[in-house]
Amino acid sequence: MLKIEETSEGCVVALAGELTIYQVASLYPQLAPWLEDPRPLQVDLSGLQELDTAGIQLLLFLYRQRHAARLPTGFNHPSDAVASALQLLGLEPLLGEVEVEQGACS
Amino acid sequence: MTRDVALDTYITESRELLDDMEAALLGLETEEGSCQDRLNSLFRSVHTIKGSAGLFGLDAIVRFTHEVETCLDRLRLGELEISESLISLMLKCQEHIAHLVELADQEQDELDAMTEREHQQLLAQVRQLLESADELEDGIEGTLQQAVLADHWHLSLRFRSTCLQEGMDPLSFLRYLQTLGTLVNLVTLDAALPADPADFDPETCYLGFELALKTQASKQQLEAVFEFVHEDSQIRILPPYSQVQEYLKLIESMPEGQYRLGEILVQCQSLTPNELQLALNHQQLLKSQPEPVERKLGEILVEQGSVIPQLVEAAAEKQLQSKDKGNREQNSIRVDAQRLDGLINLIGELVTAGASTALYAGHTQNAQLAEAVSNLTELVEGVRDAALQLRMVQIGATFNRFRRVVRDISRELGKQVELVITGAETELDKTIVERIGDPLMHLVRNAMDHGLESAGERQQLGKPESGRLQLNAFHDSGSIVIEVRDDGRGLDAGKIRAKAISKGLITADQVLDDSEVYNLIFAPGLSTAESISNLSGRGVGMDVVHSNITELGGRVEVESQTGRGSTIRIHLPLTLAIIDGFQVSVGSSAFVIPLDSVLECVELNPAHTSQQQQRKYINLRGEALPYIRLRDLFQLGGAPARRENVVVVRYGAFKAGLVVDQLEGELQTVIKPLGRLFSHLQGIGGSTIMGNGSVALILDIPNLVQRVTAAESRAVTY
Repeated sequence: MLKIEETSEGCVVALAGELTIYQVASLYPQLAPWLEDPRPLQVDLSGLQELDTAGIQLLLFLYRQRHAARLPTGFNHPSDAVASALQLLGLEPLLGEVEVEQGACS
Repeated sequence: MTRDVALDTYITESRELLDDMEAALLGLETEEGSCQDRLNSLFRSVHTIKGSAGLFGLDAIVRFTHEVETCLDRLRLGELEISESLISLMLKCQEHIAHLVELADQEQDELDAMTEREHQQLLAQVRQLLESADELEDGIEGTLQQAVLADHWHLSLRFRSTCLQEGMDPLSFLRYLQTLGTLVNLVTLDAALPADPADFDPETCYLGFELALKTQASKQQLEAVFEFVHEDSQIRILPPYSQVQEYLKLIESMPEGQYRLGEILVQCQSLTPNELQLALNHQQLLKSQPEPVERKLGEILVEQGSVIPQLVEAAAEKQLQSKDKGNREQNSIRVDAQRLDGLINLIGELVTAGASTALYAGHTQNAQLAEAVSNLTELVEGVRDAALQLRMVQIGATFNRFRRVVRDISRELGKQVELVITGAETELDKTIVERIGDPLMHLVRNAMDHGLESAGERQQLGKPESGRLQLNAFHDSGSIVIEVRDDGRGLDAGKIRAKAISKGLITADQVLDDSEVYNLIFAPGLSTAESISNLSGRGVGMDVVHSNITELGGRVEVESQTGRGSTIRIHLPLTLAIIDGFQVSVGSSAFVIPLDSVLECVELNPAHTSQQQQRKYINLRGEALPYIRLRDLFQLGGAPARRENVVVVRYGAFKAGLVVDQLEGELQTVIKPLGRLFSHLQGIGGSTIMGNGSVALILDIPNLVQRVTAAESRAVTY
């Protein structure tokens, strides 16, 4: 489940529920525009209850594409499930805050 | 508390394995050439001890043997150099394991402080050895065969791209691995993710994983984890201490590009930067050749198959091992010593019963019955011999224990000593073998400490630099003779004499020949060692050696030549249970003489006897034979028979005549020890029950011969 919010800090994509092989195919088209969107992106992971390799791979792909294009990106507020998966895979460096400029998401 | 039978078996087996281990270690040291077998057997011994210890929860043994095993494994793989110091360390470890096994036998779970300290010290030494070997490898321009430092497994996982759709989640595999051991490091590889978003299929697995795992699991167990994804996936599992070469193959086979993957391996701590450099340098060499080797997945898969020869080898080895074991089990059966004693007791009774049957059958004058009984007697004799054989063991095992002792002491003393073992196949009663170990130990120590000279001294004397110590055993007229012979400086009769005089053992004016002087070394309180060395005062002194051997019904003899060496000869009875006896009688008393010591019987011809003061002689074909009358000796009274007989007996080098009334003939004799009340009796070794139910005394020939000949030598002295 994808929820895009504009807050005072900027653009936040909040992922909630499950992000697994069952969701990635339908979620990817929704996320795809963000791969190249120049606006800073903060992905809030606090609502993610379940995450599998497919989900991680999708997040990693998103991050990698944006990183390659030097677009500010960060994942934050990992739920326990997310934190343990990222830790296992040595992917904690993905976590971090992004300076989101105000109003940039409009 | 009921004791686990399996534990007993484990302990017995471990002892045997430890003996094997010791033999293999000593073998490694003395012999060059093909030592691979020895190394393998060493490794297996320790491995088996460890494995079984695990079953019984003997943690101390598992902990300790694990390190030793690692060391032996690397030795076996040629990654460690065999050196004297290493063998010494391994011998110490062997000793320590033996000690731990003994503790387990006593069901002591806790190590006492001293054991614990030794435990830690040895562990530290073994670890240090392993580390220094590693450093050495780091230092040298290594080869690709050298093992990496990492003591963990390295797993390289590229799951097949469809695994996600098939419901196989790599994450869950990784979580499972975590339950098998400790994940030291894990690096997720995203290199395979497509660069173009249009190519990205979120349901395809692009990720790869490199991970370092510390686990006790076997390769098979780890492979089993990936059983269902193995097909079309690239799963590479490298055991701890794999060769650098293996890692190089891994690097080459993976799609990430060598530098990237190499760095990841370093990041995983599976390779050190040095090792990576080594691998890449080597690869550079290959790449500089005209055709760069493009590796395809297919090739890699074939190569992954290359683990198979290894596995096959391991399996074959295991099979061989179990076959060996099977053979051994078929060749010998463990029997409780008590059951064996029970059997021998029964056979003793059978012999007695047989004798009485024979006696009564003789009375009936029934030829057929006599025939049948005679057959039966023959069979009983056969059964007796076979049963006694069961108790017989070769002395070789006892002798071989001294290889270690000699090795250790020669190090300690800085002397070169060559141990020569002969007559190892000589058999003797198990109880005797068990009790001869300590006295022998002392004799060997003594010979090395006092007998053999140092290499320098020997050179000056024109002797070969390395001293020679010989352990020899052979059968001699119903007894077994064990010799400890050295080619050292020999006994110094003057010194022993002086010492004995100063200790008040003899008087200054007493005349003794050399052999009598030598025998003084067995007197309590006499030590000729001028300086107390480390080896002196270790429990048994020569006097204890002497009394131990006397207790076994044996005798010690010393022979020495100044400058040429000395020989200590121990005579021991073959067995303590049943003997072939020769029955004689004096008046109404029956006596049995062990047949083995009987040389001949002659009629006493009064014309041939002479007596000079206390000396009584028979002229036996021109030879003067000292004799003694049993009637006088045992104060039997009564008048001598009209015709007396002489039984000529021998013990060692001495002969003596025993004068009796009647010769009754041979019989099987079950020796019943005399009760405590009679234990002080001289000249009588035991009793036996005759066929007619009466009791006969068994003569203690060694004692009698000594008395007769001693009377003679006293007579000379006066």
